[in-house]
Order: sequence, then structure tokens, then C-alpha cells
Amino acid sequence: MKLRILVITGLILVLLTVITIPVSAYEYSMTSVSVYNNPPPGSALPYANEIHNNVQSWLTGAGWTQRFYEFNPYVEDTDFGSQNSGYQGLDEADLHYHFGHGINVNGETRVEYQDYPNSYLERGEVYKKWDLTNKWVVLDACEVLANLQWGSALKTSHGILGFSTEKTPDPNLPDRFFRELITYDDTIGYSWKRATLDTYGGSVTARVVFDTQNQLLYDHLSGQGTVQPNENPDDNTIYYDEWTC
Amino acid sequence: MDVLMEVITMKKVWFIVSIILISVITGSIILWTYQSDNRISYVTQSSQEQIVLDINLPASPITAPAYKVIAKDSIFEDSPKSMEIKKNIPSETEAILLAEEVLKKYGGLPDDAVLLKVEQVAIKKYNLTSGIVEEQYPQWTQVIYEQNVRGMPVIGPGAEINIGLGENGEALFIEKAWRYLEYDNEVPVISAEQAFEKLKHGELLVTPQSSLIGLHITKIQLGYYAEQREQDQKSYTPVWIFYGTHEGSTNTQAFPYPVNAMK
Repeated sequence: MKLRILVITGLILVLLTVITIPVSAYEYSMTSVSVYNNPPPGSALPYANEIHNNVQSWLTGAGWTQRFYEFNPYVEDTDFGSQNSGYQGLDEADLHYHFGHGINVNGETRVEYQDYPNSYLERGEVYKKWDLTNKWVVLDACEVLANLQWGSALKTSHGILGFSTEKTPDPNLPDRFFRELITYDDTIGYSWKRATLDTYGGSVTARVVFDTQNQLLYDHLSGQGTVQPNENPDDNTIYYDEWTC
Repeated sequence: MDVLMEVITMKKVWFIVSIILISVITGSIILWTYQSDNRISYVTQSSQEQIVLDINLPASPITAPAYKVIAKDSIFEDSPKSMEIKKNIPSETEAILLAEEVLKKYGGLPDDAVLLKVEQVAIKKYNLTSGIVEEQYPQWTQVIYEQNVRGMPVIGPGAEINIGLGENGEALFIEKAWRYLEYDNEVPVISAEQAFEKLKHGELLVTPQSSLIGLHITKIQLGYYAEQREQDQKSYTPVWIFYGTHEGSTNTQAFPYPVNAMK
């Protein structure tokens, strides 16, 4: 009799625990490279922890969970969804935030890894590969979106937010971006505009690339408003917007 | 007894072999680390040489003016309406006059403001195969002023007026980050050559998010750096500004890399 009471009580406790744990419907992932093998010494980036903390704080506060966080030597192509099977990297989360160096070499732009120039991500590695759960990719790095062909990565993902010029690291950027998205329920495109205008000066140009015009104008962060449908069929065009900060 | 002796001897042999193996492995690791350190220093040296001066270093004054901040405008207003597609937006010529009109409500156009840029902003439909912009959807006309103190530019996020104008000249957003200055004194400054050495060693006021490898310097000027408008910056002291672009970059706009010029 006592055993039965114990088992029932246990089951009730388990049930209550499951019910009271908030359901995290959405996931984000993050990569960050702040230490580089090939200096000058100033190439090491400050604020990597603050930027990760800001992203984490806002999104977990809104009920999201972190799918993965890779940093420094552990960041590699597969984290950016370069594979079509097995580990899918950023494809497995709704939003991906990358912080690090970017560079423009003869018009081809690259996300620099720790041992740059020996290894880096270029657009060819992710051509038509951003799909599955992913909707948005933030490239908090210099110049990567100077090349619009990065838009070719958007298979069913919606948009890429970044910069077409040089920039400097600033933890205010993710803080302001997610505040707009989560506190004010503003759209992804507008939130990026507002956060970049607020954070940078006239020497920086921000750019967004979306698969459809409606996604650029009306996509909200999942759970904060409407999210437009994926592009179907793929018409091989993108919509972009840019402004001087 | 013989078997026991043989086992002990075998154990001794294995012990000695293990010691030798451990020594070889440890030695290799130490040697590899030493060589790696040397290799990194070599790369550092060579990469420092990869910042290229495309111009001659300018003549360097012994001193430059420093200023006290006596007042500040810190305004930022924006509306989601700015993203909407408009039927029409002001021409670039109209926009300058309209921006000055808008600014009257926000303390006017400061005396040390210089027009930096006027441009029409639109969402663009881009064909990834042809590389052609097929359609454009107007959003706003942007007018941007920067601060210039007696011929010396002020760079950074805290010295800018940025206005977005929509249909019929409606102000869609305004950012006014401006510090009002009063001459303080002359301060000794390092030469442009010394500042270039600092740049090569990555000693910048703010860190860029790109490697300095392959950076071409196209202009060098003394100026000032304005911190974010929320910061309580008390003074403007001189900085050497190295304007540069990366080798082969398609960006035509040179980016400012500030180096503290104070001796």
C-alpha cells in the first residue's frame, strides 16, 4: 500500500515538473571568433562574451533555447550548415548569430576563422544550403554582405542581416536588436535598421538580404508576431535593403 | 625461479622503453611548441608589413588643439513606418532643404556640421543569376552631416546627424548625436610616422572587425573620435585617422582607423 502511494506521488511530481517547465519552442545557435592566430595583435576582438551574453539573455528570456555555441578554434564550415546530411549546423535552429571578422577580397567576401587566411567560410560552401528550421542568420562581421551572392545561401531560410562595409564590435548592437524584436515586437528588418543606426556612425553601412519582399518587410521574430511563408518556388532573386548608419 | 627472473627483466625492459618513449614525445612537444612560437612571431612580423601606405605620410605638427565638451544633443527617433514602401520620396536636392527645416525643431544645424551624404534608399530586387537590380521600391531619402572642427574631422558614432525623409518631406527618423565644443588648449601629438607604427601593431582606439592584412592606407589626417552619444565624453583630444580599404575590396569608401595621437 505504502509502495503504491509512493509510486503515485512520484508520478504526480514528475507530471507537475514536466507541466511547469516552460516549453521552448524556438532555438538559436551562435558562433563567435574573437581570437585570431594571424595578427597584428589588435585583430583580437573585444566583447565576444558580452555579445554572447546579450544574445543569450534576450532569447532565453523570451523562452528560446540555445542549440549550440561554438567559439574560436571550434568554429568551422559545418556550423554554418555546409553539409546536407548529418550535423546541419545553423540549419537546426531558427536564428543564428555569428560574431567575428569578415573580409572582402576582390569582391569575394569571407567569414574569417581563427587561423585565417588558412581557413574561412565563403559563399560557395553554403550555396542553397540554408534550410530546415533556420529562418535568419546574423553576420555581425565586416563586409560579408558586400557580396549579394550570399543571398544564394537562402534555400528556405528567410534572411541574412549584416554589413557591407567595415565595422567595429559593439555589444549594444545585439542588445538593441533583440530589444526591438522582443520588447516592441518590431519586424526583423526594421529592428536591424534601428539597432544599426543607433549603434554606428556614417562610416558603416548595414545591409539585409531576404528571399522575398514580404519577409523583408513583415517577418517578426518567431513567437513575437507573424513570420512570412518560405519562398516557393525559388525564383533566384533576392530583396535587399541598405542604409548608412 | 628462472621464469620469475625473466618476468622481472621484461618489466625492466618495458620500463626503460616507456621512459624513452615518454622522453621522445615530451621533447617533440617542447620542440614543436618552440617552433610554433617562432612561427607565430614570424607571421606577426610579416603581417605587420602587409599594411601598405599608398600615400606619403603627412607633415606632423608638434601640437594640436584639444576641446572641452560643453553641451550635447542626444536625440534618436525612429518609426517602423520608415520601412514602408513610398510612392515618392524627396530628390537629393529637395532633401537637403527639408532636412534643415526638420532640424529647426531639434536645435538647428550646428555651425561645425558638414554635409557628408545624401542618398535615396530603396528595397532592391536583385537577380542572382544576372547580377542585375530588376526593381526598386523607394523608402526614404537620407541626409547625413558629420562634424568638422576647424578643418579636423570628427569620426565615430557620437558625431552625426542622420535624417530620413519620406513622402512630402515627412521626417521618418532623426538621429542627432552632437557634442558642442569649446577650445581648451594645445596638446603635444606624436608624428604620423609614430602613429603608423601604432597602427601596424594594432594599437587602435577601436578594433575593426576585419583583419588588417592587406589594408591600403589612402588618406591620413588629424581629427577627433566621438564616442557613442550615451557616453559622458568630457573632451575631444587629437587622433590620427588612417583611412583605408582592403586590397581588392569592392568597397570604394575608405574606412577610418583612429590611433590616439596624444604624446
